[in-house]
Amino acid sequence: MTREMGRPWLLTLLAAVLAGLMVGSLTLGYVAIPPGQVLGALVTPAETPVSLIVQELRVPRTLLGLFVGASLGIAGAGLQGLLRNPLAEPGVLGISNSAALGAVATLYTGIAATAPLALPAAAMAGALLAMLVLYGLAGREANVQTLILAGVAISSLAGALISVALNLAPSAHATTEILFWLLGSLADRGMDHVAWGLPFMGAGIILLLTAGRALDALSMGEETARSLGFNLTGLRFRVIAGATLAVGAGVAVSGSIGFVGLVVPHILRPLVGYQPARLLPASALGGAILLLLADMGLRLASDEVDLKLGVVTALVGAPFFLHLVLKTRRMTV
Amino acid sequence: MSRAERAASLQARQLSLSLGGEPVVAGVDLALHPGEVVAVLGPNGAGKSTLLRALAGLQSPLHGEVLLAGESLAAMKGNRRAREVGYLPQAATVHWPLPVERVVALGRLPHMSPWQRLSAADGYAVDRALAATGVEGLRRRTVTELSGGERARVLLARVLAGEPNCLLADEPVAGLDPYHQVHFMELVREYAGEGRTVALVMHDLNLAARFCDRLVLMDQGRLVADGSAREVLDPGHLARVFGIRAVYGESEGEPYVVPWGRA
Amino acid sequence: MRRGSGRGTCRHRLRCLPALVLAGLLVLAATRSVAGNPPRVVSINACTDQLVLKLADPDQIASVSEYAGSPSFSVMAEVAKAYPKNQGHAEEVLVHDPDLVISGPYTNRATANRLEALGYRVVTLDSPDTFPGIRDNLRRMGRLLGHPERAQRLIERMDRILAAVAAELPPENRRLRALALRPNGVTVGKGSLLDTVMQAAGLRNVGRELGAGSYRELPLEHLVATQPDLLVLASSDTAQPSLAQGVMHHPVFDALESRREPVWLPGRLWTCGGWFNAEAVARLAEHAYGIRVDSEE
Repeated sequence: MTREMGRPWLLTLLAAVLAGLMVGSLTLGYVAIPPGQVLGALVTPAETPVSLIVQELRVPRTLLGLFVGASLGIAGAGLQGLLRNPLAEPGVLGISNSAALGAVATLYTGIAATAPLALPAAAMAGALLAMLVLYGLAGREANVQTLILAGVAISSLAGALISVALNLAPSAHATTEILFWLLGSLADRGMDHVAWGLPFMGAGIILLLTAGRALDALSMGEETARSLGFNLTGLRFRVIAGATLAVGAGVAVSGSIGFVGLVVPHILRPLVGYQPARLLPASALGGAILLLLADMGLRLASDEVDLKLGVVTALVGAPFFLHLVLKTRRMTV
Repeated sequence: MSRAERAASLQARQLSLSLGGEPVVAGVDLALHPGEVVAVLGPNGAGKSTLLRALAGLQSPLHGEVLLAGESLAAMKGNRRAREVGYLPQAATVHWPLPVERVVALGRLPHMSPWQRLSAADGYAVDRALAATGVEGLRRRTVTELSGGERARVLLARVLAGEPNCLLADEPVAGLDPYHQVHFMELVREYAGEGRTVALVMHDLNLAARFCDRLVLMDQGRLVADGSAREVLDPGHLARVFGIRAVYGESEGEPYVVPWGRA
Repeated sequence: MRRGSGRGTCRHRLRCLPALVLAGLLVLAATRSVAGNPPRVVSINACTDQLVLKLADPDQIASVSEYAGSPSFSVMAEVAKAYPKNQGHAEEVLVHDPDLVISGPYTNRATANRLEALGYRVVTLDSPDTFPGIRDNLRRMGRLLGHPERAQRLIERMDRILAAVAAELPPENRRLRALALRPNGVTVGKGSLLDTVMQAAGLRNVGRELGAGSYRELPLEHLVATQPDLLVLASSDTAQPSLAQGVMHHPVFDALESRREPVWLPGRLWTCGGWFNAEAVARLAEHAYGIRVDSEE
């Protein structure tokens, strides 16, 4: 009898940690409110400042941290499964920056102010464009170098165009805006972001989850996957559309946050027996955990330093990236 | 080991195929029968691999058709086709350091519904495949760390776990040492003995002669010979198709042939 | 709108816990203010902080930004000690439930949007770089806070100093050519507040000749080529910086320094636009031309 190998408790454990962090994220803020009062404020009508803070600032911030993190984590795992390359990640490949560029374009042209969903739609279009260019440039059986170099080029170009657009814009905000779009933040988002962000991110996450089986088959190569009855065109569509929705909407909410989709699958992969399908839900939970941790970390440190979210994730992620580059240098993918 | 023999034979009818716009297989008629091991031979570029991929339903024909038990393979749903036809690509790679039993369990995917986990029947099939190929002892090992011979057997076990009625393998013994070549051939013979159909693309004429029931010779996209080893490996074919002359012999009633020089 | 009395003297957030929670609770029980009463405000910008601290009644000020308490940035650092500080986050505004939130041009857009979405009145003030702009800003702030007469008095005092300096300036052809230097080798040109201050003090800003806008990194080659008569060290330090610091350690400064002692302008006098810019003008004029006017309060 073959038993399901690996750790069935892993998802439960991750979910429990995540639940704890969500409570922590609600309790931790720029204004000290005792935990008991926070929980009470969750259910009181939002008339007092405390319940306003909890319901209109901390709840959306926590939910968005959860979903943006989950989106980045699962998108990383999905792209890595599709490209069979552990270095594939929305941030590294420039997908996040391209999404940010899309968002900035609507802000710069003023379209964002007139059409309510223009900003997330443009962010998703940016993400999709980057993925299609990557796929066209690097191809399906891309080697590591081609893919990463293409990603670096896209990422830098999108970042530069964001700077140009915001510098041209007649706004004193330019510098802070550039920082936000390139380094990310969840500060002072609201329930409106939740309302338009969560459906897209949720749809993307679900789409990516449905790709698990086919990604498992794909770990044996395209021919084998097809011989096992999987439609690769459908698989590519699901992964790319899922990542478009999840990363695009995530970036539209929080700006570009790097390395989450790299670090989380890398840590979790051995714990799920390297199986792409099992990595997907685990990476969603892990991504949410990492982003909530990072966001809590920067709030804790806010008295000393004003850190951006992407700076915290890069501090954690960049060393992992280097480690992976060294490891995969010898690998033939 | 005996199972109810189903009449699942694979048949190519007037099959023409192209690769990157170039025609590589033209008008091939070929029938594979249950219980037989067929070797597909021919020089590099003869169209062997393309033919095998078409038989596996991985390539749509330019002309003609492939029939699985009389039914058009092209019209068949991917899942059903995958349950019937197992395919082992040339130089198959595994991209993640998966444990051996996970790799073998991938062979069960065509039998599983989207969100279902491995059932008891699936587990039994995986165990059987691991046992049949003699790799039970490796089940917890990481597939990327195995030797070439071990890996070839694990990848065979992956196909066998799906219990396909037709097993198609593209140069499965290339790169194996003689012991593992012979072992592999014995394993597929055994599988064919259960009433299944096996077709292998090969380069080793002697392994083909020794272990296969029927040899098929291809040259420039056409089928030039189809029959026993004696019929197919005659000096005329070897000279015309491979451009070699050979020394012939016989051992234990089976013919062997040693390429001796260019024709 | 509601009134609370969440004022404390704590500087660190965690130590503010009792005070801030108390503030929240008191607001709960507080009564609605009568229309026409001066509004309670939270300022979340370093420049607007100083205007609020100068123009508002103490009980109007719910919170000012943490920069308000820094002597490097703020001329009102002493006064600011009495008020709760914020880092410009929406939470810190909400807890005071103010009638009015005053922000500056560099305030995080997300924060301003959020506060407006939650029904708060957010007024964003420009950062002026001319004296007419400063006067407008002071008047506008005076009206917002319900004390236009205080703003008018500040403007009059500022204008008195400016006029006194202007009256004593040497003729155009004897005015000094001055270069403003910030520690990282940045200078300023036309369109910056510091340029306005230098012009008012009768200094010809060499930064303009270099084509600098409001901010420009200066290649040292240009500095040597322009040969200014006077260096204006515009730093944000509380103590006078030495030439040995930052980019200024370069030997080319030694030659320039020997001509005339550089003048130091602390950041609080030129970073933000306000009545205190007149004091910067007076200091420069005194150093350059020995003009003495009474610029102290």
